[in-house]
Parts: sequence; structure tokens; C-alpha cells
Amino acid sequence: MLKYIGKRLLQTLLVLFIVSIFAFALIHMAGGNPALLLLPDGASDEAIKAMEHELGLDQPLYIQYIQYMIGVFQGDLGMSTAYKIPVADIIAERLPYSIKLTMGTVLVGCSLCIPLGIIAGSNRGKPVDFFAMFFALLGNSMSAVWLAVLNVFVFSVWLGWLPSMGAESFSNIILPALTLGYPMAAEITRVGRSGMIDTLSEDYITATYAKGISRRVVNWKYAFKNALIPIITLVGMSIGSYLAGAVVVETVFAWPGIGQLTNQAVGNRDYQLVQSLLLVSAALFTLINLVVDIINSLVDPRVSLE
Amino acid sequence: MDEKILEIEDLVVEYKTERATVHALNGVDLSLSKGESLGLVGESGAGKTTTALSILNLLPEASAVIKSGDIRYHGKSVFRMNDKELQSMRGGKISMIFQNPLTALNPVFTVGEQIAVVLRVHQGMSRKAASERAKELLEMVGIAGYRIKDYPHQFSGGMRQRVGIAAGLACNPEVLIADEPTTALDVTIQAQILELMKELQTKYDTSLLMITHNLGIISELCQKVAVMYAGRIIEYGTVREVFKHPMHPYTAGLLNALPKLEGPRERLVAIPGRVADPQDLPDGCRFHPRCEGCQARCKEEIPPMVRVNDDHYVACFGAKEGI
Ligand SMILES: Nc1ncnc2c1ncn2[C@@H]1O[C@H](COP(=O)(O)OP(=O)(O)O)[C@@H](O)[C@H]1O
Ligand SMILES: [Mg+2]
Repeated sequence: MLKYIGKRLLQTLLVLFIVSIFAFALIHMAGGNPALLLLPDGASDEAIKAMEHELGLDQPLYIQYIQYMIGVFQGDLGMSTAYKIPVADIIAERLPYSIKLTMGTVLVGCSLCIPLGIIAGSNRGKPVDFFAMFFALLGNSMSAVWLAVLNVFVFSVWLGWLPSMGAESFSNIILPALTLGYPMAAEITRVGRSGMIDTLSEDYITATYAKGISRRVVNWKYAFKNALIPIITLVGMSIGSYLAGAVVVETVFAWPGIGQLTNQAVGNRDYQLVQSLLLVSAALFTLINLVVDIINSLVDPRVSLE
Repeated sequence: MDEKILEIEDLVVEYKTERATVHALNGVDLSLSKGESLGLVGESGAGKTTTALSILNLLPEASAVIKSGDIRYHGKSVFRMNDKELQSMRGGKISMIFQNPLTALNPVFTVGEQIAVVLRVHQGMSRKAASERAKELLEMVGIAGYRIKDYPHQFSGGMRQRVGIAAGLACNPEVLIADEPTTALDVTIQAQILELMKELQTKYDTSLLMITHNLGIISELCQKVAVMYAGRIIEYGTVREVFKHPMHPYTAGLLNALPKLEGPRERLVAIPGRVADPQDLPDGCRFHPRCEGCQARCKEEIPPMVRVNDDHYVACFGAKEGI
């Protein structure tokens, strides 16, 4: 197990290395001169040259890259040109918000909809199944923007129950978590349902019934564990993408997470920040994947970690 | 000996699929007495597994329709039992060993759990006691006891089959239904398992419904044999009688297709033609398109089961003349 984790972490490093090259290259292909952004309008050529020198922009690209990477390994992700503070500090401030929102979203998605999917799958064709399928279809067919607007309209404007922006209190997290969580919940319902339907037609379930086990225990103890496997994969993949930035939802609800930050950084042409955000997102994504794989191997003995 | 534990009466079962209706069972009559062992033979698709599942009232709800007939366990219809009665019958009094060892074990539970659960449910054993007993049962079928913590994918097909057998034997059931239990086993293990079943029978007076292609197993283990073709029993009787004087050309064909160890070498004769298609059964006797002695009548009427003697029944128009 430890050996496996070590191996995976090495792989992660390799992935990050590749991502860092791409991020670096992408940012530099995008053009624009960061030195200009730091200087007041109409700065003299000398001032620009001096600033470029200070930022290391007069060095060849590979030197710039190496310098950047040396910084990364020392925990220095560079200076944000827009905020004029270290990128690492900005990310450290914003990341907890993304984590909170992700947890809220997963809670919304899993708490109701794993049971809903299981119940629907084991009551195929019954009213509860139609309800679940309708719910899932609706969730799958609404875009994040539209859902966000709908939620704001209903819960903030119309009912006046919940705030529509900011992150000061607990109630702030509800609407963005609902907006992000609903499509996830719909997907969980769908995957849980079809996993359950597939499982229930398996020979080993008939064999379990043949042992005199009640329907309730067959569904919730035995088939449940089989149906859980695709759900874990699904949730794991979603967590990665929410952490790495639910750009639309965070922007709409003014939720100060990584997604909103990314959006702002791109808008500000804050190259250092964008570059480091790409790197941090990739790191989060691969780490989450590792955790998901470990959980998967605990639930599904056929998945071996070696 | 003649107390009937299980009676199947004129059972007709269809599977409805999107494309077609499969006439899996077309009037099966069969009974099993206390302590008796009955072999059920027939080509694949004849309806053997469907018969077995019907006994436990475990046909797939989505597709199977019981058109008519009944199955009684100690006089009580299994189709009219409530959940409680069904649960105590399944696994406790009638247990079943499933045909395909690769699909009959749940991949995400240990083999120990899959054996022990039967003991916990039916014998009220504690977790610990059940797991101890599961270990013994594993050893009984020739698998090292420490492997109860392993998962099905860590075993070969034959070993998984034996795990299923261990679970089936766990509660010393009154009736054991074994659906081709030895097909995945090599010969030595096969002999061991058969020995085990024999022992169980004498020790606990277990009734056995042995489904198999292997006529050798039947002659070894069973007193009675029922031959199934296209969802009907076409010949039934004591193994001795039926194997010595097969009356139905299909049974005769099956026996002829068997290599003999003694006597002069004969050519093996396969039964000509193909197994009847349960989606499109021929009129009359289902076997007539493959039968050498087919008469005009065979193409129109379904031959009823007639008594040859007390130990022998056959459903064939041609057979009567032969007597
Ligand atoms: N769940 C099912 N859905 C549709 N057809 C089935 C199903 N199970 C069995 N059948 C069909 O019913 C017939 C009898 O099958 P089965 O009882 O499994 O035969 P056997 O065990 O003798 O090989 C076959 O034609 C088979 O294809
Ligand atoms: Mg079968």
C-alpha cells in the first residue's frame, strides 16, 4: 500500500512536470508583456527594460522556466502581477473556499441521491423510479448558468430565504452548493439506478436470494456494495473538477474560490497566477484521483493497488 | 420413502423478451420423495435451470411468466408462500448450487461471508461461530480454511464451484438442488464432491435433484432419472430401468452418445438434428424432427406420459408398440 502510494506520487510529479511545461508555454504564447501591466501607462522604454530585467523576462525561455520551477519547489509560486502579492498567499486564501463548496456539493449530491438511485433501481418501473428518472433528466439537462439564475430567483429574490452572493455566513454556501450539487445528484441517481439494475440481474443476486436473504438485506447490503463502485468513481472525478474550479457557479454567486480566482486571473492577464493555478489544479486533481483509487480498492477487491 | 416432499405439476413457464416468447417449460411433471436422489438430464436449453429456479420461486420477475401449473413443497404451493415462508425454505430447507461458478458468487464479498451468511440466517449462529463453521465447510470441499477471507476472483472456476457447494451444504438441507455442479471440476475433485453428496444423503436423508449432462454421475449417484426435452419430461423411471431399456428414442440417443468402457468398440452416435428451439417449437412431439421412428401422428399430437411399468414412464407414441 505505502509502496503503491509512493509510486503514484512519483507519477503525479511526472504529470505535474508535464502540466507545468504546458502551462508555461501556453502563458508565453498568449503574448502581452507583464512588465507593462506592472508599470504606469506611458512608462519609458528604459523603465520597461528595467522591469523586464527585474521579472527575468529578458532571459531565454528555458531559463525562465527553470527559475520558475526552482521557486515552485521552494513554495514560491511567483508574484501576482495584478494583486502584487505572492501567488502562494492568494491560493492559500482561496483554496479553503473551494474545499468548502466542494464538500457542500458532495453532501448535497450523495446524501439524497445515492439512496434515491438505489431505491429507483430496485423498484424499476414503479412511481419512485419514474420520479427519480425525471429528477435525473431535469438535472442533466439544465446548464449551470440557468440553474444558478433559477436558484437566485426562487430562493433569494422571490422567497428571500437565502443570500445570493458572498461567503460570510453558512447560508451563503447553500445556493452555490445546490446549483453545483443538483447536476451531480442527478448523475449519481442515474448511475446508481443503472448500477442497481445491472447488479440485480446478476446470477449472484439470485444466488443470494436462494440463501433465504430478505429483499431488504439483498438490496441494501449486498447489491448496494456492487452498485456503489461506479458511484465512487463518478463522485471522485467530480470532486476533482469542483476543486479545480467551478468557474461559472463561483462567479455567479461571488464565491471566492479557485474557480472565481481563475476567471479573474485570466481577465487580469495575471500570468504568474494563471500558470500556478493550472499547476495547483492539476496537483489537486491527481491527488484526488489517488484517493479515489484507494477508496475504490477498499470497496472493490478486484481492484488491486499493485 | 414414498413421502413426496416436492411435487411439480404441469408447470408451464415462458420468458417474455423484447423479441420473442421463449417457451421454456411446457408442462413439467416431476416429484421428489424424502431421501431420494433424482437425476435430471437434457441438452442445454431444455429447461433444467428454469425448473430448478421455479422450485425456489426465483424466476426473474421481469421476464418469466408462470402460465400454469404448481409446485408444492410439503403440500404447500411455493407460488403462494409469503416472504417469510419463502425465506425459511430457501437456503435452509431447499438449497441450490448454481450452474455457473464464475457468476454465482458476489465479487465484492469474501467467500467466507457468502458461506457464513446462510448459517447466520438459518441457524442463528453468531458471526464468529458461522465463520468457524464456514472454514470447516471449505475444508470439507477441499479448500484450505484460511482462505475464507479471500474474494471469489482469487479462486479458480473449480474452486468457486466448490465454494458454492460448501454454501449449499451448510445447513444440511432437506432438498439439495445441484445445477450441473461438477462441470467445472476436474475428475478427482468431482469424485470427492460426489462422495460428499452421497454421504450427506445417507447421513441426513437429504433429497437430491441432480441436474447434469453427465449420465455417469447419474448412474453413480441417483436412484431415479428424468429426461427432459424442450421443456417436458419425456422419460422417467429408476436409473437401472431407464438406462437399461431406454424407451424414448431421445434417451436411447443420449445413451448411445456415451462411450462405453466395456465390450466391443462401437462408433459413437450423435443424435441427428438440432435441439428444439424454445422460441419456435415444432407441433406434436417436440422431438419428431430428429426422430428416426417418426410417424404421422407424432407431427400433430403431443404424446402423453404413459406407464411402462412401476419403475418406468415414457412419453412416446412409438414406445408403446415396442413393448
Ligand atoms: N432470463 C431468461 N430470459 C429469457 N430466456 C431465458 C431466460 N433464462 C432461460 N431462458 C431460455 O429458456 C430456455 C431454457 O433455459 P434453461 O432453463 O436455462 O435451460 P437449461 O438449464 O436446461 O440449459 C432456453 O432457451 C433459454 O435460452
Ligand atoms: Mg442450465
